[in-house]
Amino acid sequence: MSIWNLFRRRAHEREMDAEMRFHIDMEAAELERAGIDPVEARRRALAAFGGVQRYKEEGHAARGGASLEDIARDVRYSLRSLLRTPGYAAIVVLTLALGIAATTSIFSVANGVLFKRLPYRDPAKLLVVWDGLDAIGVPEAWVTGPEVVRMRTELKTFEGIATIRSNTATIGSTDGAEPEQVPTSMVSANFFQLLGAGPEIGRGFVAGEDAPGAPRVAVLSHRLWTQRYGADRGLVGTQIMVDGAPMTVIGILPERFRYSAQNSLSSASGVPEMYVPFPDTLAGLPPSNHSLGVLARVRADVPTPDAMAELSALGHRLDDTDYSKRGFTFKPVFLQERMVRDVRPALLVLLAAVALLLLIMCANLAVLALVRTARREREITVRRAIGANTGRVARQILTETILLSAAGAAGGTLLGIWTLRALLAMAPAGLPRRSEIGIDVTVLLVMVAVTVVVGIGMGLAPAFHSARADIASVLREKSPSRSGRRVRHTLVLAQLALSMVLLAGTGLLLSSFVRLMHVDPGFNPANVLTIELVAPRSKYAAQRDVFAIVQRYADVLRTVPGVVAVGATSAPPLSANADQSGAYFPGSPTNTGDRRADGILVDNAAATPGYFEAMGISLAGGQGFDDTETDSLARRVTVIDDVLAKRYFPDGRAVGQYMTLDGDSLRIVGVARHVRMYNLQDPGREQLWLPHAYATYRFMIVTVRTKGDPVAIAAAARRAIRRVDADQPIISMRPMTDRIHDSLAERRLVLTLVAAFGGAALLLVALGVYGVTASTVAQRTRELGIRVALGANRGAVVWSVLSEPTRLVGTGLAIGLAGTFAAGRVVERLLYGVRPTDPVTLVAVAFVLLVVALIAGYVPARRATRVDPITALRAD
Amino acid sequence: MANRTDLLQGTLDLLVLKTLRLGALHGWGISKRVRQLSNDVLQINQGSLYPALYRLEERALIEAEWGISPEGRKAKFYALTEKGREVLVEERASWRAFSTAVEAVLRAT
Repeated sequence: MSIWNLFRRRAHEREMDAEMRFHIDMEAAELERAGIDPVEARRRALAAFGGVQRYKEEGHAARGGASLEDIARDVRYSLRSLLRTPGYAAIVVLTLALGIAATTSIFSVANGVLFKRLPYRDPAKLLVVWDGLDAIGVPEAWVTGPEVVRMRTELKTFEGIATIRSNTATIGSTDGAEPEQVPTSMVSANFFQLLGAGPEIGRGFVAGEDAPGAPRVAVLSHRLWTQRYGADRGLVGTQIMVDGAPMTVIGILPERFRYSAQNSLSSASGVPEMYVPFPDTLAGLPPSNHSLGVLARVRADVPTPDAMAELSALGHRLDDTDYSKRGFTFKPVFLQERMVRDVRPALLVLLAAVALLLLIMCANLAVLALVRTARREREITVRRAIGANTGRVARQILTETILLSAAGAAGGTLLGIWTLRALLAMAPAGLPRRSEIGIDVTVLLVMVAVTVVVGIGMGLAPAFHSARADIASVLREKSPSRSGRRVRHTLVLAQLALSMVLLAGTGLLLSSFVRLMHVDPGFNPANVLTIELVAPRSKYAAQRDVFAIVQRYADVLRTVPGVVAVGATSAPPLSANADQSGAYFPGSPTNTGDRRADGILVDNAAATPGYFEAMGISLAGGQGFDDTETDSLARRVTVIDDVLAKRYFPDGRAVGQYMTLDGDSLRIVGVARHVRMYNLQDPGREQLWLPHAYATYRFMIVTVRTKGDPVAIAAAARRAIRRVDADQPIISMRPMTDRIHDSLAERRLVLTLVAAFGGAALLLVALGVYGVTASTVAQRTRELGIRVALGANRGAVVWSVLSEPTRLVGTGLAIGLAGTFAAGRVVERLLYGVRPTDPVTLVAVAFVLLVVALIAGYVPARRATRVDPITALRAD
Repeated sequence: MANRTDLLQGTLDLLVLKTLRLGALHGWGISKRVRQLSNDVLQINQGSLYPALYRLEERALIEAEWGISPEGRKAKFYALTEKGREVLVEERASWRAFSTAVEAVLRAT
C-alpha cells in the first residue's frame, strides 16, 4: 500500500499542481475583474492561497498511508544532519564496521562448521558407531569385523552399515612424477551410496567391488586430480600405479567433498586423497581387532531413537556372548556432532566473545548517540514544542542510528570477507568442514538482523529519553536532564560488567596458554628434525626388510654433518599415533592378585636404538635399545615410562623385571621419562616402547638431533635418504618445535582472537568512562572553578570528580564478577591448569580494568582543576 | 487546538457536501459558492479546502473528474456520491441537533 502510494505520488503531485494553479488563476482573474492590476491580483491570489507545498503535503496525508514518504523524509533529514557532523558518523560507522566484520567472520566459521547441514543426503539419519570399551579405559574404540557382520545381518532399522579405515598409499612413479604418499580411506562399497554424496565425474563404488579379488579401483580427491593429474577428465577409466600395482580410476570427487569423522582443529593430516574399496573379509578379521570406523544410516521411515535402541540391544547381546558381560556397548553418535565435537568448545567461546564485544560496542554507540541527542536536546525539544509529536522525534532518532548501522554493516560485511579470509589462513589445516565456511545467505540474514538490532539498540535509549524529556525544563535549563545521565551511567555500567566477563575469559585462556607453554612435555624438542617415511609394501614386503631399510636410513643420516643422534619411532610425542595394548607386571609388589585390576591398558610405540637420545627423552634408569636387538631373543625387551615404573615398582627396581604385553613376555631394560603422546594438556596413558625389530611398522618417523638449526640439514638429509632409495616417498620433514607449535595452534588462534576482542572492549570501556567523567566535569565547570578559586585542594577536587566514575567502575566490576561464573562455564573446556573461578586471574583482570577505567577518568578530572575561575564564572 | 480543528473540519465537510448537492463543482467554485451562500461570512481557507476534498474523496463521499470549466479551462470537478448523499443527510441532522442545543443553551442565559 505504502509503496503503491509512493508510485502514485507523482501523478497526484501533477494533479494537485494543476488544480491549485487553476484555483489561483481563477482567483486572480476575479480580482482583475474587480479592477485590480494583474500583477497585484496574482500576488494577492497567491497570498490568499498560502503555502502551496504545505497544502500538498496535507493533501498527501489526507490520502492516507504515507509512512514510506515519512521514512524517506526521515532518511533525508538524518543524512543531512549526519553530514553536518562527519566525525561522529565516521566513528560510529567505523566502530560498527569493525564489530560487524568480527561478528561476520566468526559467525561464518561457526555457521559453516557447527550449524550448517552436512552436505550429505538426509544427514540427520547418519550415525558414527563406536565400540564402548569403558571397562578397559577406552570409551570409543574402533569396531571389529565380526561385529560389523552382525550389525549387517541382525539390525532391521538401518538402511546400511559402511566401514571406513584410514591408510596411506604410494602413488607410483611409472608416470614419471615423483612418488607421492597420500592419505587413503579404505571403505566398503556402499560408502558413497549411504553417504548420499560422491564423485562428480565418473562413479562411486558399486556392490561387489569390495569383494576379495575384485578388480582394483579408486576414487580420487579433487585436489589429487587437479594437482597431480592436471584436472584431466580423461583420467577416469585409465590406470594409475598404486603401491606398485595398477589401479583403475573410476571417479573424481567434487572439491567440496569431505568426509572425516575424527579431526580436530589441530590435526593437519587426515583428509583422504583417495578412496579404495576395503576388501570385504570382515567375518575373517580377528574378533579382538578393533580397527574399523563405522558409518550407519538409519532407514528413512524409522525414527532415529528406535534405531539407536535396536543397536544398543545388539550391543547388550554382544556383551553377553563376546565380552563376558564387562559392560560393552555400542556408542552411536550423530555424524555432525562427532565431526565438530573437538572444535565446538573453541567456536562457542569465540562466538560468545564476539557477541560480548558486539554488546559492549552497542552500549558504547548508545552512549555516543545519547550524547549527540543531548547536544541536540534543545533542537529536538523545540521541534516537539512546535508540534512534532514524540513518535516522530523518536522515529527520527532511530532512523539515524539504523542508517548508521546499515552503513556500518555494509562496510563490516565487506571487511568481514577479508577478515574471514585472514581467519581461514590462520586456522589450523585440520579444521573440519573448512570448505563449507563462507558468507552465505544465513550469514547475511543474521548480519542484517544484528544490524537492525544494533541500530535500534543504540538508538532506543536516546529515543526514549528525548520522547520523555520535559519540554519546559529543557528549554529553561541548559544542562542535560537527569534521566539522560542515568541512562548513560547504566550503559557504561553494562559496558564495564560485560568487559569484565570478556576479559575474565581472556585472562583464563591466557593463563592456560602460559601454563601449557611451560608444561614439561617429557622430551627436548629443540634441534630435532622429524622425517616421516613409509616403507612401501611393494618394495619392502617382509618385516625384516622394513626394519633393515629404516636402520639403513638411520645409518646414512648419522653421517650427515651436524647430526648428533638419529633414531626412529612409530609414534613421536604429540602425534597420537601410539597403539594400545594390555600390559601386566607379574613381578610387581603392588599386585593384588586380581588379574583384571592389576592389568593396564598402555600406549606403545616402536623405537630404534638412538631414539631416546635423538628425541631428548631422558632415561631414569637402565638404558635404551641397542643394535643387538635384531637378535630374535634379545629383542623381547621394553622400555617403560616412569609412571608405570612408579606404579608397579615403587621400590625403584623395575629394570630387569619381566612384563607381559598382549601375551608376550618382555624384559624391562630401561625406564624413560613419560612424554605427552597426544597433546600438551593431556598427560595421556602410561606408555612403553618396543624395539622396532619386535614391533615393526612401515610408517616411521625418523628423528634427527642436530647441533644447530635442524632445518639447515633438511636438504642434506633428503639427499642422504634418496641416495639409498631414489623412490623413497618422504611424507614430511619438519622440526619437532613445529609440532609443538601446531599442537598449540588452535589455542593460540582462539586466544589471539579473544584477546583482540578483549583489547577492543578495554578501549571501549576507557572511552565510556572518559566520556562520563568528561561530561560531569563540563557540567560542574562553574562549581569546580569556584572551589579552585576559593583555594580548595586540587587533589580533593580531582577526587570529587573521580568519586562518581570510581563508584561506577566498582559496581560494574562487581556485576561483571558475577557474570564471570557464566563465562567460566563457556571457556571451561579450553582451560588448562586453572579453574574457571581462579581468584588470581579474576583479581588481575579486575585490577587491569580498574586501572584503565581510572586513568580514563583521571584525564578529564585533572582538567577540572585547571579550570580558570574567571572563565568558569563567565560560562553562563 | 486539536479540538478546534476537528470542529472546523466537521463543519467544512458538511458545507462542502451541501454545496455539491446542487451539482458538480471545482475547488474554486466550491469556495466561491460557500462565500456567496453565507453572504461573505464564511471564508473557506484554501489550505483546509483541498485536504478536505481529498479526504472526502478518500472516504468515497465525493468523486472527482477532470472536465472543462465554463471559462474553457481544464479543471477538476467534484460530485457527490450516493454514499455522500446519505452522509449529508445524517450530518445535517446531527448539525441541526447540535446547533439547536447550542441555541437552547444560549437562550437560557
